[in-house]
Amino acid sequence: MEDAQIVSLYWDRDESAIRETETKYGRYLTKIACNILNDVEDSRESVNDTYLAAWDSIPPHRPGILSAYLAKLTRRISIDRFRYRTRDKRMGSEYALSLEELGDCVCGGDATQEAVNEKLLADAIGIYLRLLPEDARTAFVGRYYFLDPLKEVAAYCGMSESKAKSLLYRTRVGLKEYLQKEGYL
Amino acid sequence: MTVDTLHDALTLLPADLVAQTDERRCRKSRRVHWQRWAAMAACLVLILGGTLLFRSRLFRMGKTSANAFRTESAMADAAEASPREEQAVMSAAGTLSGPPCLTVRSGDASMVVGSLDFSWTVEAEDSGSASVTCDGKPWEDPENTPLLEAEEMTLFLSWEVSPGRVTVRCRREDGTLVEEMETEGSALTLKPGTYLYEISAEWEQGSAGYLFRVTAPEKGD
Repeated sequence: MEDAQIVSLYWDRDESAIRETETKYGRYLTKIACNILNDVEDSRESVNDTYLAAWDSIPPHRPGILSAYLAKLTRRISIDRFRYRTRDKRMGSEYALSLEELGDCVCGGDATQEAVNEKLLADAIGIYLRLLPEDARTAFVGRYYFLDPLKEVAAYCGMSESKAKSLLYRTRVGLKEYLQKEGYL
Repeated sequence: MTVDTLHDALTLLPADLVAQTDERRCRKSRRVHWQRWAAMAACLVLILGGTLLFRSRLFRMGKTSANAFRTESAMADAAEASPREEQAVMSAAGTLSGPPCLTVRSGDASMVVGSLDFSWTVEAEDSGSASVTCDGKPWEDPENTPLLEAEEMTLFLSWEVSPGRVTVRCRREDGTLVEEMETEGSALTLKPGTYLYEISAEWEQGSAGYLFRVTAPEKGD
């Protein structure tokens, strides 16, 4: 079923919308959740919560790209679950690894300002990413948004792991410089 | 800003950027795994090579049989259609591809008689050999048996390659045996009137039979 038809089912409050979403995107969303949580049961719960979040948010939203919209929901839910369950100890997962890597891009800041700047920060990162070559952009989004293992990122970018690793490092350094120039750091 | 904040901001990335990367993820790598393709190519070469080799051997075996068959059928056709066909071909090694035709002469009259039945060993192309046998039926149609009107009472027999042994059977036209003899020479005395002469000749490669009629002058002609 096409995305537009599935979105229409949500708008019509037809419960088959969730069944169709699960059929088309179930495995896709589970993979994103697993990359963050590294646990099958937790991932399943996150994906179920995603369906509920989609049901609650469509309408009023009418996402143009349903896969990206659902991925965003799953990502946020999974990260929140990860943080909740590992407040004191970070479990091994791609998300945990990415936290270490992205440490290159940030420094401590005023917590009261952070909630306000999240959307602006996202727009700024988006602008930065659009300036990058396609491979660098794909590798960055694949590694830090979808949280795919480095090996997989290298595979679908068509490069070796070592090349992907150095590319990501240069991209992170460049992001930091950009955010500093834009005043976010 | 903390890393968690950065991650939360990444969650809000524009959908088109996410979708672009998602497309690459789903497409996966198109990098050629050369080892896999090399192994497949090697297997394909082995299979093709084996098939061609097998067919080549099969073809050569078939060709040998076909050669023997062609030789046999060619000889049979030659013997059946017209015993007076051209002489057998002699190879460079001095062997004959078939029994030679017989030339019979009496005075100025002569004719060439092809073998009617034979058993012959020929050389195949790949140094093999094949035996060919052709059985004629001389008594079915004596009227069509070649006829020589002899001018003298002596008949001379000659072949391209002289046989080691010659047997002559003289028969009346109804097939009744009149005389049988072995001759080392190439001449025999004719009987006045018309008789059937059956010649059996033997060579190292095989043997052949020839049949013809001779009308010798009557006494006092």
